[in-house]
Amino acid sequence: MNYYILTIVIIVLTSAAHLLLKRGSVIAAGSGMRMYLHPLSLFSYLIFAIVAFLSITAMKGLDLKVFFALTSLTYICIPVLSFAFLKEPVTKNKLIGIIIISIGVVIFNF
Amino acid sequence: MIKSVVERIRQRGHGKIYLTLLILSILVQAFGAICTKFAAEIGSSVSLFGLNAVFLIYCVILGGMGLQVFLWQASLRHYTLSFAYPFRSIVSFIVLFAAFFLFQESVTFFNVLGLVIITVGIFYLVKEKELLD
Repeated sequence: MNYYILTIVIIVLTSAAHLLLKRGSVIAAGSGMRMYLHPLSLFSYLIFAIVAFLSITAMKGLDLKVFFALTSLTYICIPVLSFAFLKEPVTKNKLIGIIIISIGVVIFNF
Repeated sequence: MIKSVVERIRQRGHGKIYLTLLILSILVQAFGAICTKFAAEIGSSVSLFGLNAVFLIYCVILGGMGLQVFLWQASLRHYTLSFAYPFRSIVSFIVLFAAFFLFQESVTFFNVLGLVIITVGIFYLVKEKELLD
């Protein structure tokens, strides 16, 4: 059970890192390579490194196929966090995509 | 006339290069996932070239992440997100294949069906992203 909780932490961290990357690229837009070296971008790289370490721990208790299917929930987490923190709109297509992915993850673990 | 033919051939050549970059990006991502499972399977006491094997694999995973981002960004210079993004779901199928053959995990009909449905869902999300881009 703990491995499942750890996988959820991984999903949230990965989504947060993507949001930081997006924020960093928007702030440093038009400044070329500086976009990659913006503090928010650098912080997101650090989160990705932590996620890689946590993934090794999570896979000690989970099958590779199960872990990878669960990480598909990142596709759902990112639009939700984007709506909450970046005020990006939730549209019909996004909702349909989120619902279909959720059904896919449930069927995968059937 | 000849100029336009040469230009077409050149564009096709570029297309092949970017498709190769896209496929390489996917393969590197799948390789990273397999390495992660491999690192989880071996004990922390195992050493390679005098160094901790898990640490070495972790370094390979991080390097792979960097390479994957580079290849992905490079391929996106040529392809639209709606074309490139669904390719990422191929990783899930490669991983399922590896789970069965390398780690002797069972693969059921529902696993395959679930992945197909997840891929359809990604198509919908990407459709939206493309509109926003």
